Amino acid sequence: MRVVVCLKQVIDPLTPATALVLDASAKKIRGGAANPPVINGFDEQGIEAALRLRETNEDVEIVCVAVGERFNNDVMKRSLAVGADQLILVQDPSLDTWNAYPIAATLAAVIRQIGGADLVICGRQGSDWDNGLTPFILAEQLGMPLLTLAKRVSITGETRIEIERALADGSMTMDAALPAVVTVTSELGALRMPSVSARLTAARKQPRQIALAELDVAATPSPAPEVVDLTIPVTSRICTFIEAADGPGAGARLAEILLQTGAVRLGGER
Amino acid sequence: MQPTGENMADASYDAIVIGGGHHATIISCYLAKAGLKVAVLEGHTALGGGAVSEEAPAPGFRQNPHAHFTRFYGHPAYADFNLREEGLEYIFPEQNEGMIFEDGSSFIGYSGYRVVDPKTGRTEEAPDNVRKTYDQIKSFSQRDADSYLRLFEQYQKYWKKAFHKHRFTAPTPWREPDALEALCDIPDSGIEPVHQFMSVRQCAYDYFESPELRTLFMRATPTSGGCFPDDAMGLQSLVHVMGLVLSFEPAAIVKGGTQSITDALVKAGKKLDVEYLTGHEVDQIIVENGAAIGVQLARGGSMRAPLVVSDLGVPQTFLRLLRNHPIGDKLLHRVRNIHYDRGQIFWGNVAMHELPKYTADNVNPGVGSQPRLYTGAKDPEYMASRYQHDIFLLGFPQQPYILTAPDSIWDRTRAPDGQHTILIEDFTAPARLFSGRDWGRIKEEFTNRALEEWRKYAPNMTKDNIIGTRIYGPYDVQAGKPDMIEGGWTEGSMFASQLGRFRPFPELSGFRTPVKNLYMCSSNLHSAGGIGRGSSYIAAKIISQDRGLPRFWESAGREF
Ligand SMILES: Cc1cc2nc3c(=O)[nH]c(=O)nc-3n(C[C@H](O)[C@H](O)[C@H](O)COP(=O)(O)OP(=O)(O)OC[C@H]3O[C@@H](n4cnc5c(N)ncnc54)[C@H](O)[C@@H]3O)c2cc1C
Repeated sequence: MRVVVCLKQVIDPLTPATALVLDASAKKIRGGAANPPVINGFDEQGIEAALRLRETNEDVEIVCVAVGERFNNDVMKRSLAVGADQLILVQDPSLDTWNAYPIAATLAAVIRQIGGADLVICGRQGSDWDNGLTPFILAEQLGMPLLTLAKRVSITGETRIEIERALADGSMTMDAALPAVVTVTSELGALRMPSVSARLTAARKQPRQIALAELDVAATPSPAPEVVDLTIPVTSRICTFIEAADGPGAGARLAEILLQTGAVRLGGER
Repeated sequence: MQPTGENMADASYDAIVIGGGHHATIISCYLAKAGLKVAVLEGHTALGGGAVSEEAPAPGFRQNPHAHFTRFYGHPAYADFNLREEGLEYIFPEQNEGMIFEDGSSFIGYSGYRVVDPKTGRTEEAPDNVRKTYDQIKSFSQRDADSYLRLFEQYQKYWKKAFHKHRFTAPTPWREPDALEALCDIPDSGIEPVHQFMSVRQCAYDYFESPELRTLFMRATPTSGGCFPDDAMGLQSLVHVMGLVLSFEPAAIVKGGTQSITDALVKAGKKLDVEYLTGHEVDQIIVENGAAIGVQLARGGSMRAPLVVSDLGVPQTFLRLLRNHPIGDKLLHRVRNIHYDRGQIFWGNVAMHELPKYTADNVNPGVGSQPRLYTGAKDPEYMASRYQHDIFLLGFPQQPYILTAPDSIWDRTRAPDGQHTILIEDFTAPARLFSGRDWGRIKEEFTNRALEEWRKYAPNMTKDNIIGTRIYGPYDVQAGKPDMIEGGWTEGSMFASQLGRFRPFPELSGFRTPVKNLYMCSSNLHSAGGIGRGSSYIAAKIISQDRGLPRFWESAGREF
């Protein structure tokens, strides 16, 4: 049984804000060379879900697929270190896009090219833009049912999938025939740590690269949504030293300034 | 409403020190003693930079998040400002470095010099200790034991004095030998010209034959000199590391933790009217007609002074603070290429109920209570060829070499009664090699592996014995210390091509800058990273010479 896990490379959410650069003309945010990217955290949980499936079903083959502009191999190879059998990368400048459609279509084309999948696992959304659209389009493209927000995934009787779905106050169990697409959520738990020897072995393995041109990608329907502008809130600080003879005087003066500048309002004007 | 600082421009200072780190707290005292009105501007809320302590890893315990091993009693400022009177007190255990190997064998180094006056740190030779160290080494190699005796003689006769002078003297110009290079010309000094260019591994193999001392030397070098086995360590680190590995120098424990150094210096500075302004991050150096005339603060406002000293690294000083003052393409190119990929450590304390009980103590009584104790495999081949490789690939070595420092044995202010706290260290990779998320994971993994490893040597180090741990890595260091680029302790790699007259690169190694009235004093310059090193002392001498201030070193009767 083949399980495909879709991976996205994103800016490390822990990157300090001061290190992020907003490229307004390209409408992109960049993390800089000093801050390596990570595999989207929800996608890492997708790998964990696949690894758990393999613990109960020996014949599970895990193939990780990532499409994007350019990858940091050391980062993506963590998937191999934890136990994925194969890592496939499709790198192309056109895949540096905000639009989920060509991404999903390329993922679908890879899955078709490698002979299909019994189960496709995606993270619930990318931690960079939080769109969460790719799995929906992917399921549509592959003609598979979509089960979302799984915190537990299991295969029943070889041919069916059962998930426990995370709800705000409870859970829901769903079932579908394979092949299917599943999205996983953080309740599933973090990706396990690879052993040192597995990391060393993974360091020697290389991902399989497929050129975009080799794939039969469905055309993106127009009109597609477009990012018009990206801005970050502008903050500024002004510092004022309060001159006063003593503490109470300074307090009174502070209150006065806060009122004058409108930082604080009294009465009913909220 | 007046924007900040403009009003402060009236408060007149003769000198502004940018950054309130370790070297700022030293140089401000010297400048103030020369009669200048000095302001120290620190961006954070605390002074001291890398010389601080905190309550960690549990309430009632005291930990040094950055510098831990210090010998500030050896710095001229200790006497010049009566720091002992200001509360800076050292305790001197009679052993220094030890190592326990995987096979249960071990080595204890007894201090070749003994402190006879704890007030000044004055030492005398300790022949009984030399004999004991000799016997320790003899148990695994007669040749190395003989080398030890010869090296101790050479250390006494030549190395120690030259090392001290080198540390507190500006680098000499190219072709003019400095105090250490001069030893190459003395036939029986034990230092030959080739040693200037030997890698750590070559030095280890050249001076010793035993796997014990080779392993210890290669492991101790990154801790004391910041170099990995394939780096050319340079004479400065060779002499320093040898003095520690063979325990020629006594160990020193600072009472109250490293913070005591900063506290004493600041106390001394306040008596000399130094003004310490925290929360004053500097954003730019104001330059007029090619001369520094003050600084612009990040929160707005400016302050003026006819003398500006930067305790920041060369990159921050030039790429940020002088961003509007072009210094030329060649210089900029060199600033951007300063090498920082050395000296990254996992570093922190483990608080515990009882001290580790090492099984090796049955064979070699007393091993385990050395102020610096290493554990690991007796495997110089691994150290020489794979230690760094693993670290850069995985974030930690496959064969751990943990350093522990049980200071609370001697300094009871570090832990509550009946409990202890021990510093642990091993080396790791430059911050940029892993994402913030991965650093979180690797740090957790390192901590678990270190504790597991510890149990191999001291079976009582079980989870039940541990009260808490707090470990920092390069990612944490870099986040709080903009000049410790890549999160290493060295503030710029300390291999031969970035030491002495080449630190951080030849054109900017002289403490003066292309901007008039602007000087530098940080560990990014000679004599490099570490508490009590000479950069700020040398900068103070250069400023005094340039400005005709009193020659304080001469009045103290010091050659340097
Ligand atoms: C983890 C670690 C372990 C270490 N262990 C040891 C040890 O065991 N023994 C030892 O001797 N040394 C050790 N060191 C090294 C030692 O701490 C440093 O060599 C020493 O602190 C360097 O002093 P400095 O004055 O050059 O820099 P710092 O002490 O870092 O001082 C620079 C100061 O400038 C401030 N600053 C930065 N930018 C600005 C700005 N724009 N405006 C205003 N202020 C600013 C910073 O906040 C900081 O306080 C260690 C360092 C680290 C990080």
